[in-house]
Amino acid sequence: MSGAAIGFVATIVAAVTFFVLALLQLRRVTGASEPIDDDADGS
Amino acid sequence: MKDRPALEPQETTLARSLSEFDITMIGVGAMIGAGIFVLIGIAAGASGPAVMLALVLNGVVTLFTAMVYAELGSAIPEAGGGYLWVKSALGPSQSFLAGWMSWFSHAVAGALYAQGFGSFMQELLHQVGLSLPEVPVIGLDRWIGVAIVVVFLGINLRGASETGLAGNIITLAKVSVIGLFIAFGIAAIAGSPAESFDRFDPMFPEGFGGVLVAMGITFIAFEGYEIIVQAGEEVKEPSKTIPKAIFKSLIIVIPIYGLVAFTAIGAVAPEGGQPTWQFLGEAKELGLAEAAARFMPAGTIIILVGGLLSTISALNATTYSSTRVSFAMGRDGTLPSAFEKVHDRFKTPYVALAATGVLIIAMVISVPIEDVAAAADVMFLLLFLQVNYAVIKIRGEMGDRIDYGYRMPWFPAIPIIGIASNTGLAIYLFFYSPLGWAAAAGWIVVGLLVFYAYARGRAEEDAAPQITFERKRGTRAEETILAPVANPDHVEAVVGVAIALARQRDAEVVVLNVIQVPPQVPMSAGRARTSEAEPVIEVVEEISERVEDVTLNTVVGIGRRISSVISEVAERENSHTIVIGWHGHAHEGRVRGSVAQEVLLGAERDVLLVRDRGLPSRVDRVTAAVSPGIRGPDTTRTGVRLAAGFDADLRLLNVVAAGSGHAEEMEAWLEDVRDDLFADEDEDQTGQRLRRHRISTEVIESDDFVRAVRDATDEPELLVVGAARDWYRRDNLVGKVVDDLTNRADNTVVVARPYEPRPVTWWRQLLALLRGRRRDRSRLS
Repeated sequence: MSGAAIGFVATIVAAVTFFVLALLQLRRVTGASEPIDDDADGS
Repeated sequence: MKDRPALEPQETTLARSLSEFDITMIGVGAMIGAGIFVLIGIAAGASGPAVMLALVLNGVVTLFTAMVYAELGSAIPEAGGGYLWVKSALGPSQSFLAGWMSWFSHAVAGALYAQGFGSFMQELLHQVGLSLPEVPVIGLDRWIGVAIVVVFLGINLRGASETGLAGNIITLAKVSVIGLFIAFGIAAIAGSPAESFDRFDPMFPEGFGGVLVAMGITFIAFEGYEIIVQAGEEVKEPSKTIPKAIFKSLIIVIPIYGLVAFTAIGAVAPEGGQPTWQFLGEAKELGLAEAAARFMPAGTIIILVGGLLSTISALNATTYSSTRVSFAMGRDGTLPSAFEKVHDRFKTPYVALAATGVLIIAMVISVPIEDVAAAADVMFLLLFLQVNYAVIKIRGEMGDRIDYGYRMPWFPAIPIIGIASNTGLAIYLFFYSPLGWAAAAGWIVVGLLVFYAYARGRAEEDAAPQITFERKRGTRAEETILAPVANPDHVEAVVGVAIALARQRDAEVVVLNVIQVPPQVPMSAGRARTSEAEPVIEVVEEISERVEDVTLNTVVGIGRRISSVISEVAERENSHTIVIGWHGHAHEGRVRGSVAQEVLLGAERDVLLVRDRGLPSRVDRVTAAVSPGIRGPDTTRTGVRLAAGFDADLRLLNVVAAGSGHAEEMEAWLEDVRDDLFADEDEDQTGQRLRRHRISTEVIESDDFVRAVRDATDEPELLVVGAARDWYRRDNLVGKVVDDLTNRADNTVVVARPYEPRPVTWWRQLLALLRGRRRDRSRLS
């Protein structure tokens, strides 16, 4: 495998990683948020 | 509704008018622009064709810190962003440093854009055939850079800023220019694919280290999402919109960056067989323009015009933001008050603007462009490092008390990865630009000197709790019971328990209402908010009229941290006991992130947590759920005191497992506990407070402790239970059983935690010493 091929594969892997991570986060925002308990302090 | 006491905006707020599309475009516009126009050539020279990998990897690294910004931006959507969060979470020295670095990083970024503008303008003049005069000392491009800085200082002084339509047009123009570059580049590559791909070999002429350097150099082109958070106060539905805009803008920008790098390398055939990356590297900030000349009609001029627009808008934005940071520091008192001076006519902070201008011009004149870029990158990396640390602290301390529109996964791994990657890139930049690093480090050293010589005292003065209202009704008793209250609905219960305790101790009750002053609001402005305590004061007045035998004093304090004000007032009022409300917690045995937690952990006093479910007007019986495991004797004593205070009966209740055969044994133990109350050697003579016949004992056989206690208690009854002995463990402050009982009981529950000194270790001694010093410095009088 030439250096250029390694570079392209690495770039594609990085790009896929970026997109998967970013889209997952976007889904996390738009999807139902985790239940958050009400620990309001009554003091 | 959740409490958001720490960071609620208190002063004027801006209109929430920006939609998700608007704010996403602001983020895209902030990123696609000057950074990529100016830096792509320099980065290609540092890394070779792998510059495209560097840009995409930077996207991944950026995403980690972007998640942090998304979480905090969704939870605390206020102008100030990173600086504000660091100030909230990490205290005065770190926040000063964050502001100081933020000021510098934006100013240096401004210098980079001014230099880029100078180069682009010089080249454009050359391209259109204008003969350029020789200029002394520094090159013409630098003089043009200085001139444009002066122009924008003037514009900023007059208060004009790029907003609305003009901003959108400029963003559209920038993206169009980049789009044309990519389109023509891909067409050129498609025309001769084999030759184009040959230009990527060798991919890593400078090794992988070169990729890291290129990542560091171009980092500034990725930080535009910060602007999304800065505009947080003007966004509709910020808790969802801000994180969405951050991720969407990155999803738009990263592929564009990757394609720009791909086409810049693949589509350009320099003369003489020179490798493309070298050619771009030698062209430096003109790399993109030189590349466009090779495959795009009028490419150089189009790119130069795009670059000029980008650098102008970026220079305007950075001049504005760095001026505002130094102005805010002047207002906070951490920079001399001259920085907060506002021009009479233009209403702009002219001293902060002038200081920022001097900083920008000094960098434009004296530092080469790649070192200016490195200095700005280092500063942003260090600033983001602080923000990553701040999120760990904020999540840990505020926990679930904040409404999150977005919560990052894998916490705290994400901010830790962010810290590690930002540190790594910052370190690598040192090898690329020692001068840029020296400028950044020099600025930090000067900042530390300023902090310790000037700002620290001001910051501490600013942070010290203050009493803003006081109503003393009686002669001062030897002892007081401190009852900090915030919610008028719970005043009856908390103060009621405090009165019962005070009644049989001849003590007075000090009812304290603390108004938390958010970090972005000066303490002087916090004093004006004393009137917010009125609802609480009214309820205390009502109680005071009813209760004749116990004196109620009212104190209103303001401070940055509620628990610190409580500690200071407890010290001042000689309160051995603090009675504080608590809403319980849904998680196992935790009181995380609440004022009650901080008081439990920090107060070297007896603490009674009151889980209010309505205190009956007449308490007939106090039930103390006692067992050897949860402070049986201590709980009993608290039960006696409260029963005596309420003039109620006391029942000592224990639950043993059904069929275990321990009922008799436990009954005997309860009898012993009761007898101990009346033993001669009981110095406190607790038992004397209540007649023996009013104390009953009861053992219930059940496999469910909580249910048994709940079923055995009547409505007008107060339930007392002891906190687990290992309360000092952060994750187990009252104990799981107690926590369950508190959450599931129908009656008001009092959780008693008598103070007991923890084993003294060397680090605790050190902490105590530091605490003592801090207390000495307190301005509370």
